[in-house]
Amino acid sequence: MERAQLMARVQAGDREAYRALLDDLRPLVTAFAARHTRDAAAADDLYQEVLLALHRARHTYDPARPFEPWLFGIARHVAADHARRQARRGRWEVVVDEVPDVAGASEGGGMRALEQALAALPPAQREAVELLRLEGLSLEQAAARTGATPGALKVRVHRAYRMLRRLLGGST
Amino acid sequence: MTDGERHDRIVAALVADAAPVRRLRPGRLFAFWLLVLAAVLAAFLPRRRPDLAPALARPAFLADVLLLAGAGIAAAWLALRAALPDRPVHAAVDAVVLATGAVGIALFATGAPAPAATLTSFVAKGAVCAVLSLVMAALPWALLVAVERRGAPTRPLRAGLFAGAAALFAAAAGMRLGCAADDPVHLLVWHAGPVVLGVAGSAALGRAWLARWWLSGRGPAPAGGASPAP
Repeated sequence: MERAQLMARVQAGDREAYRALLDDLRPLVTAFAARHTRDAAAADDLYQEVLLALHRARHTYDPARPFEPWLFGIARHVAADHARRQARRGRWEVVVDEVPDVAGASEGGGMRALEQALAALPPAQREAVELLRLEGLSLEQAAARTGATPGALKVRVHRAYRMLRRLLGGST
Repeated sequence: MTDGERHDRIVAALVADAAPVRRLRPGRLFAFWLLVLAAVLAAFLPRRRPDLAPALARPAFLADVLLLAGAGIAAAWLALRAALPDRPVHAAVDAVVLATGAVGIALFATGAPAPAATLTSFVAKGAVCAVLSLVMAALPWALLVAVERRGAPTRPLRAGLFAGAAALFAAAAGMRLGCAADDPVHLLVWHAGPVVLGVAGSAALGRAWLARWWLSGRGPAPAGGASPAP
């Protein structure tokens, strides 16, 4: 089925059509993210943001028009914003020594959403959160376990918490 | 976890949130906006200038009103299209619309100069016009920005700029019908001033408010749910 037709069904609430469309778009969005970022972690971030933006903008698509210009209009805008934030982060990112608590983790009603959100993180970010928060390791212990430097772990946790805030903020 | 498994998790989260949505339709919204604009102007018409009929017989005055109204209406259409991420942007069209409004403003300089007034009188009279311009523009502007915030603008500064231009050019046209002053200095300061400052301010607000819509937590309106605009 054409992507435009799938998207029309998505707008009507057809979840199977949505799953099929997102699966179909995976190689396109993956390649796009890889072209517009410098490393795998940033490409993962961008990939997730493009899918989230597509999800939030699905009511703006007109099924009578081609799908790809709509998709890439969104993707280019998200990529440009991502690049600006990457550049700003390089100048002033503050990596905290104390890893903050994850909001809602102790509330039963939020656990399922938190688990889903954690599962959606890139592997390196999820591992950092699991080692530092769930297993309670120190930065040095976690660094020794993963082979990464403490500084790199702090960056991964910082990015993971930012993505968790977005995912949990949109579903609560 | 492999990339495929991670993708599946993301898809599962998005699919779980995929309720039917109400499509954003610029044509219907444009018609609604025109109705609102007409209602706003009608609410201000009792304040129309006493010499309106003879003024409209003057070509420069008539051209001024038509250019400002036309620029405002065209800018509204561009503002609504700016809420959609796949609508092409034609710089030439943008320039023509803004230039049309600018010519309407420039025609303020062709009015008949008034006798010299005191500064106090100039400011007191002019401030009323400036405030009225902004009040008249407020609701049409708010409607356009609300649509843009609900949409997915990929050029937020441009979206804000055309929302401001639409409301303020239309308000300026209304003010020409309502304000009896034709003095160029009065018009350029108290009628054009709000337009220039308001359009610039709206562009800046657009850049601040409309840029990162996918991170705001706002979602599309549910299908069948109540909505203030079609």
